[in-house]
Amino acid sequence: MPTQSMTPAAQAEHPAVPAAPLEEAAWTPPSWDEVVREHADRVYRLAFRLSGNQHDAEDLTQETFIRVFRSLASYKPGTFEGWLHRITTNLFLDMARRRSRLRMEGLPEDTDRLPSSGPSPEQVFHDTHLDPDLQVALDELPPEFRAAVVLCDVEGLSYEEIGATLGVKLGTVRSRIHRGRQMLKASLEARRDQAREGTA
Amino acid sequence: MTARRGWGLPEQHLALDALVAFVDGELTANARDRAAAHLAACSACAAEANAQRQARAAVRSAGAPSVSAGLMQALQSIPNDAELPAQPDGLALTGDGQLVAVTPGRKGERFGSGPALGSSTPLGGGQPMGSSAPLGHGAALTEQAALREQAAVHEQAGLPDQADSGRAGRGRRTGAGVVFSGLVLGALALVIVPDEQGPPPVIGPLPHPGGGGAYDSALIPASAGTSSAPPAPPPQQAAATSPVSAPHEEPALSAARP
Repeated sequence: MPTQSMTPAAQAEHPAVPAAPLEEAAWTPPSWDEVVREHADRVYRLAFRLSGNQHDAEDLTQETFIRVFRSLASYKPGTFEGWLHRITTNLFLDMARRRSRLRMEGLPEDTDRLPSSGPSPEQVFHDTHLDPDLQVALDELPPEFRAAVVLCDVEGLSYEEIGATLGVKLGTVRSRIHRGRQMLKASLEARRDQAREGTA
Repeated sequence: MTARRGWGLPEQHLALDALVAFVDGELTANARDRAAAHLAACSACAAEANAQRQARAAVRSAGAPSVSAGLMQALQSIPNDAELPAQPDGLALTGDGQLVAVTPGRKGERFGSGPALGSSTPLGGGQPMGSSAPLGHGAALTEQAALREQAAVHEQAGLPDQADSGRAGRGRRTGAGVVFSGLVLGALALVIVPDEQGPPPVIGPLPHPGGGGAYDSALIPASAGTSSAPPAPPPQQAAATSPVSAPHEEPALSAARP
């Protein structure tokens, strides 16, 4: 029987098998290729949900990985995800603040977000096949609120992790998530109503 | 009723902070029970909790975009971007703080086949040696090998005191110098920047490897650089410190070959 004849061989090799994980437990430095392959999708997803369009998401992703590469030496095993979240989110917030400053300088005070500042919903859908209503609703949130909601509901971080990522207190995390979701829901419903009126 | 009063709130509704934390399961067991009791009796709060759940579900259910092939390629070639003031490709920290080179040419081998590494150690074959101790020092062994290789390279390059520094690499971390490695004119050379030349021992911009094997045996005592250098120097700062390596490259090289 082939199975029987294989068993002793398998047993002979067996002592080496549990040894291998032991060695892997001792951390080996990841190659750059490995870092990219393992984390690119996660970073991009976060960057996309935050920025709302492919162009900015690609820029943010690339900038994030450039920072990672620059400070690879300070990387300690186990903190990579948190590190990536922090870099991506802060790069996004920097970008959003820079743009809002530019907008403030050029335009009178405007409480409404400018709907024309991003790509059209059709463009979003064409680029990514994502629900355009949702992305537009996310885009309408103030950046700080958007970051809290995305970190919570897209990335599944705990409040504590979100607080660490954004550098804010737990109470602030809670209220931003709460307010962010409220606004998101109102925006989704408004768009739904609009669509209904449009077809009627 | 007492449960509601327990929150000490006007209008006897859940605080919005508490409500969102309840929805996300972030309350302690006690607070969660009180919130649940309140929600069971208060339709306004229950509706608010539902609204939170709906918004959360909308975000959660959204599909995940994935990285385009072009972006993937750009990310993978970041180490080849000459403008980067950074460590060369493949450098990484070992558990005990040594910055070691991850052989670029053998990347796939190294990481694709962890078990292969294990089997290449004496453990794979030898039952008598079957303790796990040598395995635990797998990284250290690699380092020592790198040290030996480095020493050999130093001797080849005619740098008399380098072999010593290679073997006692950790002894010299106290600030004796920062070792930069790089590929210069197609030859592997190691350049020592003396202490007075580089105030901040930044593992700074290095000439980037043109060839794949450039860093096969490069080893940098990271403790000197990582302990005092800022983890992520902003571009300007990095640019400011960059003269440490580039301008000294030539003099140091000529000094190394009298």
